[in-house]
Amino acid sequence: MGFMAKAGKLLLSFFILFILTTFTLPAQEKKFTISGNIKDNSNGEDLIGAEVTISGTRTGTVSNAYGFYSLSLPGGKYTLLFSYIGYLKKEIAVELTSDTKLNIELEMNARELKEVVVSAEERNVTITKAEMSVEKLSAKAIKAVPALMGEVDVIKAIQLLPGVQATSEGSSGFSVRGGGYDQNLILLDEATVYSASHLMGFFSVFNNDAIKDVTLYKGDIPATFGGRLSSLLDIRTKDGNNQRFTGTGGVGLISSRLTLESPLGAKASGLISGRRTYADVFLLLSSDENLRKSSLYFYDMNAKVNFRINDNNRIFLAGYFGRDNFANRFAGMDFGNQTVTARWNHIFSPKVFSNFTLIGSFYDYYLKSNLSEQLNQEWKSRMNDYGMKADFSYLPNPANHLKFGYNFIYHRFTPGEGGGTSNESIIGRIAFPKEYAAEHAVYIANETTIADKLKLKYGLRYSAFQNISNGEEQEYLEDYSVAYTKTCKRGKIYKTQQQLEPRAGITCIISDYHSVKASYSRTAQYIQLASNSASGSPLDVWFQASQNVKPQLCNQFAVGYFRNLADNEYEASAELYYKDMKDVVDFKDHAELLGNKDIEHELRFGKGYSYGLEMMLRKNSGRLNGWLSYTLSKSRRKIDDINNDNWYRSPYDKPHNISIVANYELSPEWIVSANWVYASGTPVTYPTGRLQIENSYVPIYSGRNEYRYPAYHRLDVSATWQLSKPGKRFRHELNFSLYNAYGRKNPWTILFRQENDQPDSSYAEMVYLFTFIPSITWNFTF
Amino acid sequence: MNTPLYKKITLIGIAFLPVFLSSLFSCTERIDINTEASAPRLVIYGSITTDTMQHSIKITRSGGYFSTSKPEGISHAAVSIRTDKETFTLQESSTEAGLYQTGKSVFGTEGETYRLSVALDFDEDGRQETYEAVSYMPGAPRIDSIGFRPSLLADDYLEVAVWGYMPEAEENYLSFHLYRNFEIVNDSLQGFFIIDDRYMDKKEIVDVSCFYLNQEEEQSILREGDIITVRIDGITKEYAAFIKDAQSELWGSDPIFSGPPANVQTNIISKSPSESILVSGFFTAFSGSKKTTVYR
Repeated sequence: MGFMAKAGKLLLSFFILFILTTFTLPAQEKKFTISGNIKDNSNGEDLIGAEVTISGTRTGTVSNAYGFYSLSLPGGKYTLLFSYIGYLKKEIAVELTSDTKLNIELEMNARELKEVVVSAEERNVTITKAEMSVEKLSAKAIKAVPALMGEVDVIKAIQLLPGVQATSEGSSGFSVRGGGYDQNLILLDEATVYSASHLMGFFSVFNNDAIKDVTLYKGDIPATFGGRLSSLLDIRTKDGNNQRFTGTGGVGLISSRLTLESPLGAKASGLISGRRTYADVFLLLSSDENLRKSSLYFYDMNAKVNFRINDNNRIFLAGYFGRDNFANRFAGMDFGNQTVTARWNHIFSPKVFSNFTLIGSFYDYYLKSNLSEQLNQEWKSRMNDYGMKADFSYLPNPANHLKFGYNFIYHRFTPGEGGGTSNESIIGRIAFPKEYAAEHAVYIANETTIADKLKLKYGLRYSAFQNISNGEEQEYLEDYSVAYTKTCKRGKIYKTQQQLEPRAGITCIISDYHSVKASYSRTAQYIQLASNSASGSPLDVWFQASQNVKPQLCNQFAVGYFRNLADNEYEASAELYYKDMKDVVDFKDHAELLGNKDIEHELRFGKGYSYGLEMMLRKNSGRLNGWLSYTLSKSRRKIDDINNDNWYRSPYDKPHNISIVANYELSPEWIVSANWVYASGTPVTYPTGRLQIENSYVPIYSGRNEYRYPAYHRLDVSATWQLSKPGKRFRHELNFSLYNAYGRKNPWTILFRQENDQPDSSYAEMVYLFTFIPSITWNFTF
Repeated sequence: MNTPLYKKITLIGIAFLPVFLSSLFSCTERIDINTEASAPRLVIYGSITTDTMQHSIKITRSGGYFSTSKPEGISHAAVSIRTDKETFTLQESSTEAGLYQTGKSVFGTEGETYRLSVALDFDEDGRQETYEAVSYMPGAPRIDSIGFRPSLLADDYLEVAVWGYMPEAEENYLSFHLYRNFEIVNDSLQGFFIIDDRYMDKKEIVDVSCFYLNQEEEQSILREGDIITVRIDGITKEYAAFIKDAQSELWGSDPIFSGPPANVQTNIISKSPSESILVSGFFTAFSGSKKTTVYR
């Protein structure tokens, strides 16, 4: 069947389903729409995912990412219940005789104000919501997780969730359900963050003080999003307090941070947040002149302004700017992300909400050497994304929620350019050809409720990727060798690849306390990271699908059982998933990726699969809260020319993965937290023989990833001491944490060496990174 | 001319950052690893050069990784190196099993293609297997002078720099060796220093720092009057890749900057394919030039 025929068939199916579920509902009297925004009354922040229900029924809706809700009901009297976890519920009686605007402000529960609330959603949403394989964490829960060097880190918290694992010790890279770390779409206020780590991956670029909402989709990715195979991490920053001037900050061992929020007139508010490490300040105290001249820091800054023009129009401007810098007197490097988004929320009618977004996302790195005028060199690489999105949300009745829209990204990659830096240089300058592409997507999706018990979700995303000629000769490869070359006029589209990405899900609500769900999603990825290391480095560049590189595809199926216990105090879930991946990209043995303009020559293609069982028991609130998760999984790949063309374990295949996270309020002044993680050892290729070359023993290896490192486990603990009295405007606390509390020596890598004094003898040496890392952080708010 | 740009970048990135990280956080500890020894491989390694000398091919059987003995040499092989014009037959050394040598007056010629043939019964099934490898002999560089200076990169180090010219070929790969009083200093795989000129504009070798000698370590201290020889070989792209890959496997991998470990590719081809015999090693031809000076 041709592509257009397939697309037509899928679209037809969509509309038949839509018509069936929308217009075959019992004939109803005239409806009116009640709509508005749901906010936190203390700071004016939009509450994402707040529930609105008609009291005593399951009929209702949830607020969207901008706090907007809309409910169309037949005329009459209703009692609406507004609820959000950690906030006091609010019941409002309304009489609907016409379309009504009702903005709601919810008040935070005084007790839960200081208590850690793990989830960011209302108590039984996991049962009733038509989505699965989704994890939400509150900023408080993230903050409560004991942190490496006291640096609260959203990604480190996410790594404790079922189906998610760190790519290596201490890394901010993560693998979701056996996928690669470049298969996660990380969005910060809708802008793609290409490299989410500082300091070689040990810290993420996200400053928790500026974060409002974190959602991780491990599967069942909404049709609204695409472009990555494995997951979507959607991070939204705070809008800025529109009630009063506030501040949040902290002073830690390696960095300090400050976030300021303020109303900006009657209709606007803003936030500015910054963080910087100061290891280089201590270097100035060194007696070694070389160390004094070294730099070693990272910083990041978030800024956001929102302006409410009127009830139907609102504008948001947000930016992130972060950079790492390391240098000594001979060499240096710096790298960083910048993202900017401009959004316009427009409410066309109480039933139609829209959001238009302009996005800029940039990543670059710069290397330099400082040896002599003749030898000094520099090298830089940059990627620029310019995008726009138009998203529409239509709520024709309480039973249906239709979403549709268009996304566009223009990619401009500069893979590398540089050379000698002075006129006296003996080194030439080179520039690899720039790469240009356009990525488009249109989508339509509907979520429908049938008789309160059954929720259906179905959608279709059409994506297309177009390579735009840079005017240079293009190589066409066959069997990984150049077959012929062709040159296109600069600016001309010379290759278009397209995919249909259907998404579907069903939720069967058995009772208020348990439900069964199933989902299917197809995702396509058109750009990938040129890195074959386990966790990546800042020097990795992204490359595009092309005439030689097909987009990677993933079909994911999942079923789950969701059960709440003890009046929703506990949430339990079990999910089974299966992922089938096509056109998976990997690299040939000994691939040369850095500074190689012919990266496509180094690629190899194949397929993969992964499956697993994820179980989670979570207690969301109370003096003792936290979660226990267990994942049983398997992940395999088969790539041309690798492992003699046989199947092998993917680098993220860890059959057993356990996380226990617990927070306990000892007293009003003290909260203690701990987490323990266990994971099967990382797959590894070990030497099983050796050959002698030039007086050295070169390893002969086992099959790819045939062995495993020793199992990984670690306990982290922390305690937070509230220093201020309740009710004070200025509140402060001390946080003490101990990372790897029992000093487990987890291998970061294992190296194989020859004995110096017995050159015919070899030995294995484990490199481990962190044992007993204590830290103390002073946090404050006002 | 210097280390090509991409290598310099690699040098900055790969060397600087892990060193920085290691200094901050890492510790090492010896551990016991139990791996099942792989089936022994046939290893053939050797070369022919432009020097007039006995050229050698070593044929061994690979051992387990944690073996403590030298690899076993394989005797009774028929070994020859030939061009279209001549054939050199190699004889097994009477003092070292598995070492096959040409006569003393043999030398290679730039531009020639050399073919190695080996016939032996590796699996001792009574039938001989044959193996072949081919290598082109690239041109040799010219060395004009050698210089010495205290290193900018580290205290107590002395840099040895050279001046000269690359061969006129489009792409050149050069391997450097250093001799002190006629004793080789970099005699191990780690000591191989290889550069290429893929991204260079000129064929001139200007002030290339090729060796960094720690003047606090006895084996690399230079004293006045020492006779210093630098040898630069023009090697093939394939041999440069083989050495580079072997070096990276010796260095080992880490999760940030390295790809997965992999066996080093060989150019030895079995002419009697047997699934039970795996072969490793390399045969190459290279041309060399030397320059000698006295250290003052």
